[in-house]
Amino acid sequence: MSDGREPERDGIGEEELARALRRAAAEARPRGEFRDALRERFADGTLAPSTPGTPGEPPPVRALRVPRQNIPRWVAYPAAAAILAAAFALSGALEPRAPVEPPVPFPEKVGAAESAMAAAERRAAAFPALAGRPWQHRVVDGRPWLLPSEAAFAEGKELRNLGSFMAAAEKGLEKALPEIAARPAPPVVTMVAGDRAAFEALVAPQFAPYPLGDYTIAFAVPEPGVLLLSPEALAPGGPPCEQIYIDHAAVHAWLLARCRGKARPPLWADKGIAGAAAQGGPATRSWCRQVLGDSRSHGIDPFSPDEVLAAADFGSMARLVGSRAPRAEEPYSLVPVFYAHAESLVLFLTDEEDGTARRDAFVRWLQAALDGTVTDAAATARALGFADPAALFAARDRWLGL
Amino acid sequence: MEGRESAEAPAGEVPVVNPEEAAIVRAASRGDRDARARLFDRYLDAVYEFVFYRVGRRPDVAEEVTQEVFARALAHMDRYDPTRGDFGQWLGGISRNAIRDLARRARAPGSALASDPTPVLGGLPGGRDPAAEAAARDGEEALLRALSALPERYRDLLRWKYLEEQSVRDIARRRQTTEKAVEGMLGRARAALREGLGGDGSE
Repeated sequence: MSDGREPERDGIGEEELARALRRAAAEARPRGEFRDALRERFADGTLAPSTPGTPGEPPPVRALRVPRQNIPRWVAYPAAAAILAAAFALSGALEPRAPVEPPVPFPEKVGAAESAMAAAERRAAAFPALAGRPWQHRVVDGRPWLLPSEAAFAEGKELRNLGSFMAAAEKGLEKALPEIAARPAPPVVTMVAGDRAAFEALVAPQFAPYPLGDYTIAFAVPEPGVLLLSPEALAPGGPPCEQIYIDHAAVHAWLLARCRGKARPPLWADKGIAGAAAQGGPATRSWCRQVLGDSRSHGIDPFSPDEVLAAADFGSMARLVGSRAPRAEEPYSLVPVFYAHAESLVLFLTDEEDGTARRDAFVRWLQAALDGTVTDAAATARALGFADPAALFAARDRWLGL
Repeated sequence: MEGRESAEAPAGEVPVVNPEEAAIVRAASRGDRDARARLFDRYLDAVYEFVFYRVGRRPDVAEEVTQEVFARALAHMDRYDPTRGDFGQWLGGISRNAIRDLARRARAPGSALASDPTPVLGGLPGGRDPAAEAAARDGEEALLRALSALPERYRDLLRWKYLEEQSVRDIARRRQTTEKAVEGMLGRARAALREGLGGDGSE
């Protein structure tokens, strides 16, 4: 390099790079005359777009041309009335009205912690299990909490402890997926149910028909920004496996908070990221290899590649597992195989051993999914750089050593 | 066109992303000349640069699109919703649409740009200009072309690190991420640059 400085390992010297960046910055500046002329017209309001309307606007409605005919009123009016009456009846307006949908649970995206807590509290009122009780608003280490007002056990120390689990999980995600971390997100409010029954009343239907585990104490509510805890989590020492459940749910909540509007990540990506991030890469890779290897060797893997990628929600996935259970008395024993597929896919797609192209494709696809783009199994595989779902899974298997 | 910190909002209301700017936009849409000039001064460079790299580094085309962006912004300023992002983000959306329209026009038969569309299409996804690529293989021009083809986030990172000489810690703070993540992204940015220069991208 001419500047005499040591070039970087990739052969591009820092000075050379700075020079090119300087030139790039200079050439990407508008000309002075252009700036002045455009500024004048913009400020005066005399600048007009070259094309009518804004891209994305619906095209103008065109009226249908109906030839005029001389139909006598005594024929036209009753005929029109009969047609309107028929259309009205067919439209279903005379049918009994369907019951009003319950309000969408939990908060809209809000910025400040206090606003988020107030919004979470208002939406909680929609749930009989959580309604009608006053809540304490607490902010501990910058993390907003909603606690039942009678909760005498709400020790700051225990909240800090639980908050540190969540912070560690979030930090891991920021490191693994900085592009996703940079998406705008409301603060996640951690809400503690008044008792175990209230927690189960809200959470169990989300997993049905899969039974809720006795140790499940944390749940990321599908509407963004709320992590619900069962009150045992606040007991000193906590229940068994507390950190695993909280890490896992905190990852779901983190991801959901970064969804735009009603967009949600597909189940495999959601579960895969949560599992891989909460339990760590090497241990998860080895667990996935073992679970998938065993299920293959016994011929009991219930999923095709398309079914993993297309699984819409936990309930439908569990029902599919139940319908293919090798032993009827244990219908859901193969649900962990789905987790093994999901977590190994995410680990494989984010692994950079063979370069960054695979990870970049995954992050691009995930960004689009969080923005609301829905892709079927084949399109998902293509977006991730594979010919079809089978090719994606075959590459994943080779990576796992299966 | 980076976002800014969210402001406090009353309970239940969606906060305005940048209240000071929202007030300027309101005044501008009511016809306040000074407010319009302030918005223009704040965002012209960012819009132009955003467009410039996406149209194959052609100043004439960049000027055309930039003018279109500000014209559309002026015509539809009343549609800007300050709770959904700052004015720069809104202009970014208009810019993307204007570039897409330009690409459609460039591909349309009989368009003014159709006589020489390759440099324009070269800057758009899927477009290539093999002759220009071959000519630009050596020297600083090649580096410049590789830089302009990088994703914006990578180009920003390299600019902060090697042009503005910011530390990894400062960049991490600016991007609200960890130093380790910044180091990883810098490595990937350099690898992408190397790949753009014709290498295999590996260090």
